[in-house]
Amino acid sequence: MDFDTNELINIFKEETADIIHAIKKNVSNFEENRLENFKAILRGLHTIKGGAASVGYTPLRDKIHEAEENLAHFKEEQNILSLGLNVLEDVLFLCDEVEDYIEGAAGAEVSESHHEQHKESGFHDFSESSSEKKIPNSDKTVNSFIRVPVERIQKNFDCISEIFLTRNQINYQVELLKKGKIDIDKICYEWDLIDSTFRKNINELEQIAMSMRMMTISSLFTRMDKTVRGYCKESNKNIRTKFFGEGTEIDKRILDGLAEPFIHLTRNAMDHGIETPAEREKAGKSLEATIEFSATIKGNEIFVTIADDGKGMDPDTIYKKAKSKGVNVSHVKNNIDKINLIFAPGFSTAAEVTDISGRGVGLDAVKTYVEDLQGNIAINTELGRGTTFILVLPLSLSVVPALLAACSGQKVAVATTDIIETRTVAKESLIINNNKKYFLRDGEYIEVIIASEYLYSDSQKNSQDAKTSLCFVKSKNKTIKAIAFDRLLANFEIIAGKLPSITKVEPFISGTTILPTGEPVFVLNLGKFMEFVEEESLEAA
Amino acid sequence: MNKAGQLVLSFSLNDDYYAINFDHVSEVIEKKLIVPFPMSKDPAKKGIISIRGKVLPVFVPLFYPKDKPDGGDKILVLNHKQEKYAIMVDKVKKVRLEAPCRAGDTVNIQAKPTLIVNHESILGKNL
Repeated sequence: MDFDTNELINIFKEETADIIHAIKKNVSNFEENRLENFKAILRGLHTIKGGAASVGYTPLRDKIHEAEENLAHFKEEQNILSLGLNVLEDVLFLCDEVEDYIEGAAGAEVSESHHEQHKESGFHDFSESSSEKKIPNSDKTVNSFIRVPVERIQKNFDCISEIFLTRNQINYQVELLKKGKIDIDKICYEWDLIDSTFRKNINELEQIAMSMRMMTISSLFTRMDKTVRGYCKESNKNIRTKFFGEGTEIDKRILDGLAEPFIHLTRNAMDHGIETPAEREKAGKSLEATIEFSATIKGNEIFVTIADDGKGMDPDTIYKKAKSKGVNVSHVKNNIDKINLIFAPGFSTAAEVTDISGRGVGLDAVKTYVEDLQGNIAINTELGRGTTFILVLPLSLSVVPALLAACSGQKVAVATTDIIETRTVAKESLIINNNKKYFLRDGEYIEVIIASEYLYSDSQKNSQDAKTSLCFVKSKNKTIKAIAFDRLLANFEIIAGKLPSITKVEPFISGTTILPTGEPVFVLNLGKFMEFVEEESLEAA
Repeated sequence: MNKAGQLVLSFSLNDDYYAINFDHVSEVIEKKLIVPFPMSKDPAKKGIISIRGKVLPVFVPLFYPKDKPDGGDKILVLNHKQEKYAIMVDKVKKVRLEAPCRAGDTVNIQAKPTLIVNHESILGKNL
């Protein structure tokens, strides 16, 4: 396939995705202005039809053409009022089919490149292929492109030209120094100015690069809408979707990583959360269930929620079930702990495995996914009223503030996200009780974990310092503990990298980074480190 | 490694001799600071190094006798799929073997019995 055709097809796919999105919006807002929305839908379909014809997607063109014929009847103003819900539903299904077709075609493209004839056969079975496995492999093709507004690219150029000028300035100053026209003091003074310009520019470049990676969450929501609609068609449940904050921008890497847990949570809500129509009627609820998706930004975190109005979860049922499945329940103190047991490995609320959500992955897998994105997951549930899953994620993964700490003669970086406070205190001020160390912080005894007892514990270089630095960290169950390092060395921003997959490390090692001196250091997640220490001490006991 | 005229990198480590398919070799660099893992129950994981802004793990090869001290004054960087890792070595030399060989064979390279190794015999269960 020559480049031009490929390019055309890519443009067509992108445009179509946008149009489909717009059509779906028109459908959901249909009642606001029937005629206008209807016209917009027809216009959109017509554009797709034209595009499909131009890139040679004949079956798709025919399909849309047929739909247009069916809809033409409503073009007249007097007929528009008679347009029923079923017609709108047909439009939505057509949209899904178009999306599937395009995704399928994306996967088929590779094999077509050599055999033009193959192309024909690849397209004919499109009605069957719509619900089949083509989606996973097409995801990669779809996701490896980002559409970037032109002005962001322009900003990028502006910034680069500024850096270029700054570089010339350095060069000039160094030339002067070489010729002996200025002295070291002068160049140091100049360097401070140049350096601050540099920092500003690098900051700006980073901002631009990050903004290029930002995408609205709407694509994910659209996918969920489709998942729900597909489910309703197959089951007897009637579920409506609601979306809030579709325009919220989120780092593409996080967005991509969110798809899997999101699908699982949505399926979970549809399968286990929402009751059958009969049950709903009995409970006096409206027959039509609702799943609400929302995204909001608070600070530098994004809150994504999936809320159903289903039967909710009973803490005691979960507790009993967890116990019967052999899940460790020793730490459970209250209802919140009980509910959180559903995230434990080996727990699954499904009495029977369905092909929708019982795919062998439980909510523990969802939790792992979310944690891999440096996020957190929480549940809010009320028996009879519904369940809300709340996912809290960082807006972006790239630069994180960190502290450099000394531990048994080695250096480690710790991400500051988990730390609520740091204090350097005299070692003597730690109090020992029942073999554990405590620190009196504002009238409260805080358990202290000595990092060097776990990290580099075989090292002989124990700190002789009379002081120790405590990092206070709030654990998952809201208790505060302190982790003691020998010393805190520096405050800096890092870009954490991942180790190659062949190096399996403890879960609290979130990655590595490189210090200005060129030394590599490990980056620790103190929240996870605390969990690790707790597990170790449980095992020891 | 089963083609005739096989290119290998032979390397020594504490007077033992080994060779690996040259395709797996990324580069050989001088020894530099190795930062140990904070807590590794696996002695094969020696530490990490940084090379031009990338952090790589350094392994003690599985084939290397446990009773010998680990040493080496050079770092051999190997390609494994899309990733890289490193092991410590003493002397390296690029050699073309006449006969085909495979991992586990011991061949004569410059009058030394040389054990042919691969990723599996280096990484073992870490692979």
